[in-house]
Amino acid sequence: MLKQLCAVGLAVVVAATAACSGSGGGGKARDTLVVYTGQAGDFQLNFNPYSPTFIEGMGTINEPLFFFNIAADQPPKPMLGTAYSWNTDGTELSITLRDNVSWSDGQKFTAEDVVFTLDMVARNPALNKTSYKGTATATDDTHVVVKFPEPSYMDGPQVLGQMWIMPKHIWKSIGTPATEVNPTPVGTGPFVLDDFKAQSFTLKANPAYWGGEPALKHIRYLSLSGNQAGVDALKAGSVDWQTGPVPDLKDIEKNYPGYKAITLPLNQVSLFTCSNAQLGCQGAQTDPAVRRAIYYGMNRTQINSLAFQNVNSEMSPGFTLLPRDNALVSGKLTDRVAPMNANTAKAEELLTSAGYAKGPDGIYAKDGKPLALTVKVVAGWTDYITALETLSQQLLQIGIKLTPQQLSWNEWADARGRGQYELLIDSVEQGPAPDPYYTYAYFFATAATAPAGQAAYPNYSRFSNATVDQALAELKKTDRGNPARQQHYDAIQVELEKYMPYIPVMTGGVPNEFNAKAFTGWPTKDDLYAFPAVWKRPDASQVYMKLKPAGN
Amino acid sequence: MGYYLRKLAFYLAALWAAVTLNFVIPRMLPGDPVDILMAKLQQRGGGVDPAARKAYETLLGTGGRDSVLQEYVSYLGNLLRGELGVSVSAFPAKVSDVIAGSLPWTIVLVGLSTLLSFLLGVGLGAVVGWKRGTWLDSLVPATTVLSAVPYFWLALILVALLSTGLGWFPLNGGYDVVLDPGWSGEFVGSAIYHGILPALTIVISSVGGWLLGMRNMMVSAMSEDYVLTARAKGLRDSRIMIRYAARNAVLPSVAGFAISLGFVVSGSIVTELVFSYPGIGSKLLQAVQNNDYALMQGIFLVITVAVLGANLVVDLVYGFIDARTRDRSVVS
Amino acid sequence: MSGRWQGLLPRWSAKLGFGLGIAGAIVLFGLIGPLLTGDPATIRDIGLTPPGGEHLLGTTVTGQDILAQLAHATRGSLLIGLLVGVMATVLSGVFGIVGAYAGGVLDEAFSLFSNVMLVIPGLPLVIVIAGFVPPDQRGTGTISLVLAITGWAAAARVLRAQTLSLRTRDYVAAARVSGERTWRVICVEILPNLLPILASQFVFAVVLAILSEAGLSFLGLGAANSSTLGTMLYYAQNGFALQREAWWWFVPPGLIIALFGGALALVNFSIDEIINPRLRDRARRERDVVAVEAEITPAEPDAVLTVRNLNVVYQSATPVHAVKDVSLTLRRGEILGLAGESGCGKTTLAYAINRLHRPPAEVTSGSVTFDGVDVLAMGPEELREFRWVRLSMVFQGAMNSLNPVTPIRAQLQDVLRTHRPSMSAPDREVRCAEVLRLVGVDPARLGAYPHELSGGMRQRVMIAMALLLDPQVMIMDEPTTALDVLVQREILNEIVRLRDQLRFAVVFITHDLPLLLELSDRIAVMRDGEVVEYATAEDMYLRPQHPYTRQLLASFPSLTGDAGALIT
Repeated sequence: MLKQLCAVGLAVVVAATAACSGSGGGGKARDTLVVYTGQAGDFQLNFNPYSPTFIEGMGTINEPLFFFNIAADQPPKPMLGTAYSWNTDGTELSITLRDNVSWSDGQKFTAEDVVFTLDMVARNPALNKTSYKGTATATDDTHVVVKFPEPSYMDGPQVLGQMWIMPKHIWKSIGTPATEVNPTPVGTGPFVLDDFKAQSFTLKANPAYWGGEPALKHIRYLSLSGNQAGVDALKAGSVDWQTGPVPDLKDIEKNYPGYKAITLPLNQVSLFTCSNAQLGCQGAQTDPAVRRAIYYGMNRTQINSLAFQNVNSEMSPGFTLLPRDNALVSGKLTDRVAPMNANTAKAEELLTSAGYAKGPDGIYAKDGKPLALTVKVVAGWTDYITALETLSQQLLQIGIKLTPQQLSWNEWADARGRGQYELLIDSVEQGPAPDPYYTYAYFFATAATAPAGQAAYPNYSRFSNATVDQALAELKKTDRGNPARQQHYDAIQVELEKYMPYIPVMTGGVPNEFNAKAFTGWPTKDDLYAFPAVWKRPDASQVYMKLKPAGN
Repeated sequence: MGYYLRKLAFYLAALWAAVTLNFVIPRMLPGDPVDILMAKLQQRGGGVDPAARKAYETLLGTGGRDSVLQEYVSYLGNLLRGELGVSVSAFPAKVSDVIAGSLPWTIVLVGLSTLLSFLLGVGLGAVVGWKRGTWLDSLVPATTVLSAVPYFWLALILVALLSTGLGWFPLNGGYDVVLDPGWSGEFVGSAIYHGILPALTIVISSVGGWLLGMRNMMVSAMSEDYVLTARAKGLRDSRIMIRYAARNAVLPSVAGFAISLGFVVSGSIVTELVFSYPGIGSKLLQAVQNNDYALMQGIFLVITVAVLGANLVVDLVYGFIDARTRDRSVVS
Repeated sequence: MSGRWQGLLPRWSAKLGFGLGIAGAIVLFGLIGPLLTGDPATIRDIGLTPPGGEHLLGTTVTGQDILAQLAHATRGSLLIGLLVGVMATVLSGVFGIVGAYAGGVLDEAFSLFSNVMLVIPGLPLVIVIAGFVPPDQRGTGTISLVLAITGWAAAARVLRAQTLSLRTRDYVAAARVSGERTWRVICVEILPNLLPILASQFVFAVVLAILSEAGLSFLGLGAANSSTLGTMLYYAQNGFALQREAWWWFVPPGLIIALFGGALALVNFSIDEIINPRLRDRARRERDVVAVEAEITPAEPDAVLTVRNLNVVYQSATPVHAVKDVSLTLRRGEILGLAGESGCGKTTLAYAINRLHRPPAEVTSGSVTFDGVDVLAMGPEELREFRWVRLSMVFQGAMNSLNPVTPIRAQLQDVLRTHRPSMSAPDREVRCAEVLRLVGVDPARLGAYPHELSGGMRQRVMIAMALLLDPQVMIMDEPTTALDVLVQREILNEIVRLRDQLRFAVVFITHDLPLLLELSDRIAVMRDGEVVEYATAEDMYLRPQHPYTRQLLASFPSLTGDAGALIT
C-alpha cells in the first residue's frame, strides 16, 4: 500500500518536473532563481514596503531614488533619481528624476509620484520609520525639491535610499496605507509579482523595465523551517541562494557541488553592557575599568575558531566597520583593532588600579563583592552560546566570573530594551549608507536611550556622553564627503574606546551561499556592487538584476 | 435529564475557563510585540533607526492600555462577534484569516494520521489480544518502545535517511511549490507525496499506545461471560472477535480518541517544525515567539474548542455505540 | 495482611527482568557516569572527532566529550522525570482520590477542575509558568513543575473512578462508619488498593516527562540552562549534527530516552497485570484436551450424553485436579441434576463437556460421547458446528452472559445466521419472536439492550436463545441463583414445561440440592471434583447414602416445611 502511494507520488513529481522543464523553453539553462530568505512558516500576503511584515517589494517592485551600497564606500547608484544636490546649509535637497520610466500598469512615472510618496510618509506616523520631517514639492515632471526644517545631510540616505516610491494613481485612494497589504503591487522595479502561494511566491521579470528586462526571468521565494532545513535544501540543490550558516563553510565547493560562498563582515558582535549607573544600571559592569578588563582578557582567536568557524574578522574599538571604513579609523585610538589574543597582565592591572583585589578563589572583588557577571543570550543562538562558554573560561584567567544565561528571545529582547541586564551578547548594526555616523547615532546617542526600566531603542547600553552627542550634532550638519567630518569621527572613537559601553568582540561575517553553476553575476570581494545577503533589501534586487542564467 | 444538564454545565464551565485563561495567559508573557518585531526586522537587515520603533508603536496601537477589566469585557464581546483581532506577526492580516489558511493542512495531515494510527492500533490491538500467546505478542513491546522514542528525533533521523540520503521523499513543505494549490490531480498527488513521511512518523510513534490499550481491553473482554456465551453458541471466531470482544473492548479507546483529536492541533507543532509543514502548529510557535497575543488567543481558542467539540461529539456518539450511557442518568 | 501486600508485587517475568535491567543500567549511568567522565563543558580544539580512542563516543563540534555530556544529560533528564513523576502523582492523588473520597461539592469541583485541565492545551501554560520564574532559577525545577501541572489530569480521572468504586466496598464503609479519621481511611484502606495504579501512573508520568522535556527543548522552550537529553539533542540539531553526518552526536541521547522509555513500558506491563489480573490469564491454546484415547463405550440404550471417567486438571504451578473420574449418563428428555457447593468442580465439568474450559484447565483423560460421537475428538470446526445445535447452555448470571452493547435481537439472530445460513431474514425474525414467546417474553423487546431488561427477563432471554436450534441437550449452570424466589419459581416452572413440550434433556447445575430433588429425574452430588453419589431423585431424598449428601440435605430448609432444618 505504502509502496504504491510512493510510486504514485514519485510519478507525480516526475511528471511535474518534466512539465516544468518543458515550459522552460527547451534549453538547459534555468531562468528561475530559488531563494530562501529565512522565512519560517507560511508567507502572509503583504507587498507593502512600508509595512513591518512586508514579504518582498523593496527594490524589486518598488524602487528607491538611489541605491546606497553599505558593503563598499561607493557613490549612490542612480535609480529613479539621476542626480541630487544639497543647498549649502543642508536644508534643501534637489532631486532630478529619470524621465522615461513607466509603472508596471503602463502609467507614466512623474515627480508627482515622488511627492505623493514623501507626503504620505510625512503624514502617517505609522509609516514614518525615519522621522522624516521634510516638505516635498515638484518643480516640474522630473524635478523635486525637499525642504527640511534644520540641516539634514544625514537624512539624505534615508530619503533617497529608503523611500520606496509608490504609484500615486493607485495609492491616493488607499485610506490607511499603514494597514494596506498591496496584494497586486504596481511598481517601477525590474520585477513584478507573478503568483503568490502561502508556501512560496514568484516574481517575474518586468519586460518594460526602464533599465531593460532582466536576464533573470523568475525568482521563487521559499519558506522553510530554519537553518537546518535550509542546509538540507542546499544539499538537495533546491535552493539557489540563501544567507545563513552552513556546516563546514570553507569546503562549500566540495560539499555542495556548484555552490560558492561569500562571507562579508556586517555586524559588530559585542558584549552590550548596561553601562550607565546614572540611568539606573546596576552591576560591576557599570565601571569602565571592568569593561576594559574584559576587552583585554578576551582571546578572540580562540572564540573565532570555536564559535564562529573562523569566518569572523577583526573589529575596531571605535566601531567603524572594517574593512569598509578603513579610511575613517581614528589615528588617536590606542588599538586600531581589538587585540586578537588575551592580554591578562593589562586586564589585571586595570582591575587592580580600579580598586579590585584578588580573592582566595582567584576572583577579583571590591567592597566584599566578587566580580561576577551574568551575560544574557538567546537560547538557540548556538554560536553566541559557544562564544560565551569559551569566554567565561578565558575570563577566569583574569579573575572575572562570567555566567552565561539563556533566555527566550522575548525575554531577552525585553531585558535588553528595558536595561534589565548586566551583559548581553548581540551585534551593533549599520545604517542606510556606508557611514559609521548611523551606528553612532543609533547606539551611542543620548537621544536614542532611556532610563533603565523604560524601553530604549536602540541605545540599549544607556551610554550618554556629551562629547559624542556634540560630535554627532556637528556631523549632522556636515555633508558626507566633507573632510571636516573626520575630526568628529576621531572624537567619538576615542570616547568609545575609553568607556566601552559595548565591548567589541569581533566583526560578524554574514555567510551567503549561492549557485554559481546555474547563475553568473554574483557579487565578489572585488566587485561588491551590493551587500550579498538575500534578506538585505534593496541590495538583493541589485543582485537579481545582475544575475544571468549560465549558458545563455 | 440531569445527566445532560450536568454535561452542558461542564462544557460551559470548561469553555469559560479556557476562554478566560486564554485572555490571561498572553498578558503574562514577557516582552512587547513591538520590540520583538523590531528585533526581527533588525535580524533581517531592516533599519535600526530610533524613529522606526515609534512608527510601529503607532501602527500596532500598543501605546496606552485600558484597564484589565475593560479589556476582558471587550475581549469577550469580540469573541461573541467572532472577531479574533489582527495578528501582529502577520500584520495586518486578521487572525481568523491566518488560522483559516493553516488549519486545513493540520487537520488533513495530523488529523488523518491520528485517525490512521488509531484505526491501525485498535485493529492490531484487537488481533494481538485475540491471538494471545503467539508471536504477535512481541508487537506490543516493539510498538511501545517506538512510542517512547522522542518524536522529533525519529522524524529527523528518518528525514536524514529517507529524504536526504535515499531521496525517496521530499525534504519539506506541504506540496511542490511549482504547482498551484487546488483540486487538480497533480496538486493533490504532490500534497499526498509530501504528506507521506510526516504521516508515517506520526503513525509510527503513536500507534503503540492505541495498540497496547486495545490489546489489554481485548484480553479483559475475552474473559467476559458474553464471550464465553458466544463460544458456546458455536459462532465463528472472527465473529466472536469482532462483534463480541472487540466491540466491547474498543469503548475506552474511543473515549481516548476524542481527547487525542483535540490535541492534534497543539501536538502538531513539532511535526510541522521538522517538515516545514504549513499548519496551525507552526503558526502557534510563530505567535509565541513574536508575542502575537491575538494570534495566540485565536489558536488557543481553536484548540480548546476542538477539544471540547471532540469530547462533546464523543459523548453523543458514545450513546450510540454503548446504549448503557444513554440511560445512565445519575452516574457521571 | 501479608497476602494482601503480596498481591501488589509484580509477578517475575522475562519482560519485567529485562525492563528493570535496562532502566537500572540507565539510572546507574546517570548516577555514576558524571563522576567518572569529567567536565562535559570543557572545550577542545578537536571538534567532531568520531567515536574511539580517548573519546569513546566522540566529540561535539566544539570538542566537548559526548560521553561526559551524555552522562550529565542523563542525570538531568532522570531528575526531571523523577520530579515530574512525584509531583504529578501527588497532584493526581489529591484531585483524584481526596475528591472522590470526600464526595459532594468537593468531588464535583475537583472533577470539573481535572476535566478542564485535561482540555486546556499544555504548551501555552508551559510558556507562561516558565515566564514567571526568574531566569537564574529557571531550569530543571521550573520545567518539572510546568510538566507536572500540565500532566496530572488524566491520571486523576482514573484514580477518581477507582476511588469511587473502592469507597463503596464493605471494609471501607465499615471503617467510615466506625468513625475512623478521613486521612486514616484514605491511607490505610484506600491507598494500598490504589498502589498498583499509582505506580503505573508514576512510571507513565516519568516517561512522558522525559519525552515532553525533549520536545520542549527541541522547540527551544526547554530547560535551556540545565543539561538534559533534550537540550543535548537541541544543541546537536543546532550544530548541524545530522547535516554533518555526526551521528554519534545526535543518536545517543535519543537512544537513551527510547531505551529508558521502552524499559519502563516493560515494567508497566507487569504492573498492569496486577491492576487487571485478567491480563495474567493464559491464552486459549489450540489443544484443550490431552492424552485422550477415543473410547466410545457402548452407551446405555436411551443415552444422549455419556461422560466416562472424565478428568480435568488446572495445570498451574501446583496442579489442581478439579474433576476426578466423573462418569455420568444423560438420557433423552431427562433432567439430570448436578449438585455441590461452589468450587466443587461442577461448572468445570459442565464446561469440559462442551470443551469450553479455559486454560490452564485441561482434560487429561476420559471421554464425552454425544449421540455416539466423541466430543473430545472433534476438530475445531466440527466442534463449532456441534455447539448450540446439539447442546446449548444457559449460564449463571445472565447480565454478563449477554453482550451489553448490542440489542438482544442481534444476539439471537447471530445463532441463526451462523448455524442456519440459508434462513431468510424474515424467517429469522419470526423464529426469534417465537422462542421469546415460548419463554414468556414480549417479542417487542427484541430491540432492547440487556441492561433494559430485568434479571428474570434476561434469564428468560438466555433460555430462549438456548432453545433457538431445538438442541437435544441444554446445560443450565445455576440459571436462577441470582434471582428472587418468586422469579426463580416462575422460571423453573417454565423450564419444566418447555422440557415436557420440546423433549430436550437438561443438565441442571446448582448448589441447591432440595431444588434438584423437586426438579430432576436423576441427581449427581459432587464434592472436591468427585461424584460422591449418583442416584434417582427419589432415592437420594429417601435414602441418601453418602454423609455429604445428608449434610447437604440438612443444610437447607426442608421441602416438607420443617423450618428447623436450616438451623441445625
